[in-house]
Amino acid sequence: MIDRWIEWGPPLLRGTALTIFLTVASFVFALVLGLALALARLNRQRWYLYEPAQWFIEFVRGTPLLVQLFYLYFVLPFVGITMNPILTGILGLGINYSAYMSEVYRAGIEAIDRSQWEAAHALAMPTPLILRIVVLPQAFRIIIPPMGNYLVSLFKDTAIVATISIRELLFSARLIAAETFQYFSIFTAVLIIYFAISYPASRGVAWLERRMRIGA
Amino acid sequence: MSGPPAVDAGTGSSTPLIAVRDVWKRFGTLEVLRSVTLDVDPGEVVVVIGPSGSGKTTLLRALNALETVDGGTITIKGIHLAEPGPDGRPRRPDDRTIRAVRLEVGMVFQRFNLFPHMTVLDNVTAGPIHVRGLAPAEARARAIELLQRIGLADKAEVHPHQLSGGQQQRVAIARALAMQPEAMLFDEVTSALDPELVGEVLKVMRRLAQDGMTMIVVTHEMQFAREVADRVIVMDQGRIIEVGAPRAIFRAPTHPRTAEFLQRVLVEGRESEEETRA
Repeated sequence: MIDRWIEWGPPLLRGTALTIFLTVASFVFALVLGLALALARLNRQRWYLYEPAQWFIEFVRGTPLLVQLFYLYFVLPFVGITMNPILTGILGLGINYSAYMSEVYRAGIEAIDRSQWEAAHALAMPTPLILRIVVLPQAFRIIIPPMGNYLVSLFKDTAIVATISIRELLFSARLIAAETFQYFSIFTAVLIIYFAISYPASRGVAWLERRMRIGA
Repeated sequence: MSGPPAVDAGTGSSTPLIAVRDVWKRFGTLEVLRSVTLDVDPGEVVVVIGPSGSGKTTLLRALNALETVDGGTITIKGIHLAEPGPDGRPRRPDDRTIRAVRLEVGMVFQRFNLFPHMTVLDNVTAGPIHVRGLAPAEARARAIELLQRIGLADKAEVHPHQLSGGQQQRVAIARALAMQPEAMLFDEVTSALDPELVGEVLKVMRRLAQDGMTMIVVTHEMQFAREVADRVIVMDQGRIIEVGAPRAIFRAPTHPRTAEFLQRVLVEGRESEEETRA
C-alpha cells in the first residue's frame, strides 16, 4: 500500500502544484482585468469605455465557464490563435472571474463617500491620482474579504480546466485512476487535498473579514 | 419670482481676487443662487451669514468648482471659472481651468473630510507632493511647521480617527494651507463640532485672518463675524440681501429679513449658552 502511494504521490503533488499555480496566475489576471472593467464602468460619461465593459461583463456572467474554456481551447485555433493549454486555462479562468470581481471593485469604490472625492478635488488632485492615493486604498479594505472568497472559489474551479487536458490535480488523478482502477483511494485523496488547502484559506478569509469589521 | 431684491456686493476694486457677477444656479426647478454679485479683494475676510438653504454653501462650492453654475461669470485671480460661451449659455470649464482655480483657493468642509487611511502628516503632505510636485522632505518640513502653528505637531503620526473633531478640523485647515492657496473658503467649519471644541478652530482662523489671508467664511458664529470680518454678507433665498461692515449690520440691519435672522440666531445662541451653564 505504502509503495503505491510513493508511486502516485509525485504526480498528484505535481498536479497540486500546477493547480496552485493556475489559481494564483488567473487570480492575478482577474484582479487586473477586473479593476480595469470596474474603472471603465464608473466612467458613465465615456460611453466608449462604459458600454463595452458593461456588455463584456454581462456576456461573461451570462455564459458557463466550461463553454468559455472550450471556446478558447477549440474555436480560437480555427481563427489562427493557438495557445498552450495552461495559458488558455489561465485566460479562461481569469476572464471569467474578472467579470465577477469587477462588481466587487465597483461596490468597494462606490462605498467611499463622495466627500472624500470632494476633499481631494479641492486639493486640485486629478481623478487618476484621487483613485490611486485616496479612493482605492480605502476601497481595498472593504473588498479584501469578498476577494478572498473569490480566491478560494477560483481554487476549486481550476478543476474544470482538467477538461482541456491540463495536468493539474484532477487530471493527474484521472490518469492514475485510469491506469490502476483505484478510483476510491485516489479520488478520496484528491478531495482531501482540495479541502486541506481550501479550508485553511477560507478560515483565513473569515478571520480577515472579522478584522476588517473591527477596524472599520 | 418673489423675494427680496439682490444687492450688489462688489467692492469697485479694479483688482479683486475673486469676482462673481450675476451668478445663477438651479437644482431642478429650485433656484439656489439668484443673481449673486460679489467681489473679494486680496487680504479681505468676508463672512457670509443667512438662514440655512439661503445658498451660502452653494456659493462657496461654486467658487471651488465643486458646483457648476447656470449663468453669470466667476473670475478667480484672472482665471475665468464660469463665463458664457459664444452661444450665451454658460460654458463648462475644462479640467485644467478647474484645477488651476483649485490651486488658488483652498477649501475646508463642515465634516473635515480628512483621508482616514493616512496619518495626519500624510494628509497634509499629499497635495504638495502629488499636485505641487514638492520634494517629500521639503513637504514634510513645511507640514510640520504648519502643524506646529495649529498646535498639533505631536499628532503628526496619528490617524484622524484618533483626534477630536476640533483637532481634525485644524488638520483640515493645515491640509488646505499646505497647498499655499491665495484664498481660503470655510464652509460652516464649526457646525459639526461639540461647543467646547469650536473655540480652538476659530482661534486658528482668527490668526489666519490676522496674517492677511483672503477668506470667505460661511458660519453661524456671529461673535467671530463681528470680530474678524471686514465685510458681512447676508444671504436669503439665493440672493445677497445685505452687505456691509459687521458693526453696521449687527447694530442696524437695513433689511427686515436680516433683523429677523439675527434675532433668531442671537436668541438661540443665548439659549444654548444657558443650557451649557445649567
